[in-house]
Amino acid sequence: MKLGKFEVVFKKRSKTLNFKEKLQIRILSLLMGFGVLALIFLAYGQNPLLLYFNIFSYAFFTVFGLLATLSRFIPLLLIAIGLAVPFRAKIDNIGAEGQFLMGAIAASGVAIFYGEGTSPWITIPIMFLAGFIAGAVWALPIAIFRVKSKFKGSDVVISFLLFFPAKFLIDYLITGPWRDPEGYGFPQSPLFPEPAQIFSFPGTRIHITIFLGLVATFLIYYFLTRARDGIPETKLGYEINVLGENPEAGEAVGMSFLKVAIITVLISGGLAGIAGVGEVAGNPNFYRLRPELSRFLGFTGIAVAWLGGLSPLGIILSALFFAGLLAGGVRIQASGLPVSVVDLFNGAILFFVLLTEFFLRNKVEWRTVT
Amino acid sequence: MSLELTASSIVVAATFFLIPTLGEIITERSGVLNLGIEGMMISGAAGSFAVAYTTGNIWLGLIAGMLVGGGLSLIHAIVTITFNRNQVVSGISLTIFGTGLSGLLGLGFAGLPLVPLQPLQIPGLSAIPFIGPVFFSKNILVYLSFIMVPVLWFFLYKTRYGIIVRTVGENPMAAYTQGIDVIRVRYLCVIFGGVMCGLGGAYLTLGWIPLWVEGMTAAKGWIVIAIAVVGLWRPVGVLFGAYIFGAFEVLQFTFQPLGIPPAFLNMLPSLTTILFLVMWGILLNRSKVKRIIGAPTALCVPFEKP
Repeated sequence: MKLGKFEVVFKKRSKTLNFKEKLQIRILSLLMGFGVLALIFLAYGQNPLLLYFNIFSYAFFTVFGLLATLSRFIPLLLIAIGLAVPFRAKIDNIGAEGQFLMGAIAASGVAIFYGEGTSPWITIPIMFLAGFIAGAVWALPIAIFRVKSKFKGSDVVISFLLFFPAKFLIDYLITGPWRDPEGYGFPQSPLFPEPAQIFSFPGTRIHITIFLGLVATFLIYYFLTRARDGIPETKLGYEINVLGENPEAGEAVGMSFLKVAIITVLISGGLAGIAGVGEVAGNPNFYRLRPELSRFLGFTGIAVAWLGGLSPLGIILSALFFAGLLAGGVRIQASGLPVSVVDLFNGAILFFVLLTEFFLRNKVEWRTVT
Repeated sequence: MSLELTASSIVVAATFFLIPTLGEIITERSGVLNLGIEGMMISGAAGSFAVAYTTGNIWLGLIAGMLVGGGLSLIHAIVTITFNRNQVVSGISLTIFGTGLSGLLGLGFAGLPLVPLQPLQIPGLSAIPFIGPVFFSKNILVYLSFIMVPVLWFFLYKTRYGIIVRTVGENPMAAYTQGIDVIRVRYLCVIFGGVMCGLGGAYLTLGWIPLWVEGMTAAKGWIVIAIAVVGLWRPVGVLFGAYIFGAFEVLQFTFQPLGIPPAFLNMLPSLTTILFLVMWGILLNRSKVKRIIGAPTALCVPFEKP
């Protein structure tokens, strides 16, 4: 690429970066995202540094804000750690939003029909199981289209299209068969019976799903991403890496892309479903199926997974970061900006994370054109 | 609702889908999938309303919408073409970013009234009963969408540039070895797609519903990507696709009194597209069908110069 008298050359890096260098480049990409957004905020007469300080001091250094951050952390971690698995196999599941909603619907069904008069020790595990299955089933077509369909991008189109039936199914259920008869006409389901309310720490919105998220993260680390010298130690983890890089080569040595694709999307769909169960049955403000359940958590989860470099430890950190951003959204509103500015952060950061991926693999050299 | 009024509403709704879809098929034909439609449309809608309201000039509003759409698509082009990053993730970023940007662009303009684009009666044609009021007494963007269909058909199939675009989307390496600047072609196609999305957004706030409400595109941008699939990546195909989905949009209000829950009618566009995708998936196994279905082979595949 030529720019006037100078030429920019991208060269492939000869060695892979170590953890510290990767972290540095990722933090740099975050700072660049914030830098570009600062220009936009300046144009709107806001002091960007003050705004950033307000968001993060609220989200991490006030008790109320930190509790809100942790409650946002739960679904983001579950969705993102799940998404990391198909992403590693180069399967673009962008439908976590729909899988999340299906999980919520399944859990609500269990809660409404079988929740009354049972023991929470039975009901809640069944709700999680139902949510996992519903989310996983909703993700299954993605694997089939990714492997079997003859044109590129059909799996991507399927994955986001499946969001719409899930969303409108909720609309139908809460205005029709599952409508709360005592809801004064509000479109929402009845309050879940007590055995179907997931236990949360008193006075907070942090429910025990957080432990499920951390366990899932550990299991994915242990069974899929744990690596020695850059090569995963488990067979499945290795197959995911190989098939993601080169499906033909993998198939040639007897791996089945279809099998691995199905396993990876089932994991991601199931975990998104569990996140849905936690949101619908764990949040003490509601315990109901309701519209506006998610507000793009599924899409934010994509940003979380990529900022975390698709690695379990990285995803825990980036889920905390994005959770803080969502929780700090109240401070954005307080400064007179619309709440959708949170999306501006999510989008810009995701762009810079993508660019970072490039600079992790290539280095930039300038030279004058002779 | 009378039949004439229903048909007229379908044309109005379908134009909102048709304009961005015509841009998106050109983008996809060059081998770049842009999932940022929703973001570009809603930002274009907000930006064009803000400019039209502030300046009082609706044409400046239209231009602003196109600039916003084109500018946003440029980000996608830089990330996916120059830096060869994942097109799907970049498109998602664009949708999220554009949704956020629309909140800022429309800040302070929510709910304000605006005089929309006025319908132009086409002399002669608008006097035909039924067809006249339905098709030929609409605003200029509706006519533009009519004209764009044959123009883009001619461009894609009858001109040298159209063949270049399709070759780049089908086999970029072959195009490159013939001396075609693949990167420039892809840049231009992505930006054209963005401009059309911005124009589609402007049509929403300046032509169809003349006001700005945050989140007013209501995820309809995603339907655009679905129409490109249903319409086989062909200008004439997406014309039908956009009108079918426009009809779904309007008929949900017609069928509601008959006792069909609107939620099920809302599901129709996505379920139809899924059905089509299954059909294409099965049919494309036969190579003859490949010529009819315009799915670009190199869609989502980054191109790196050797």
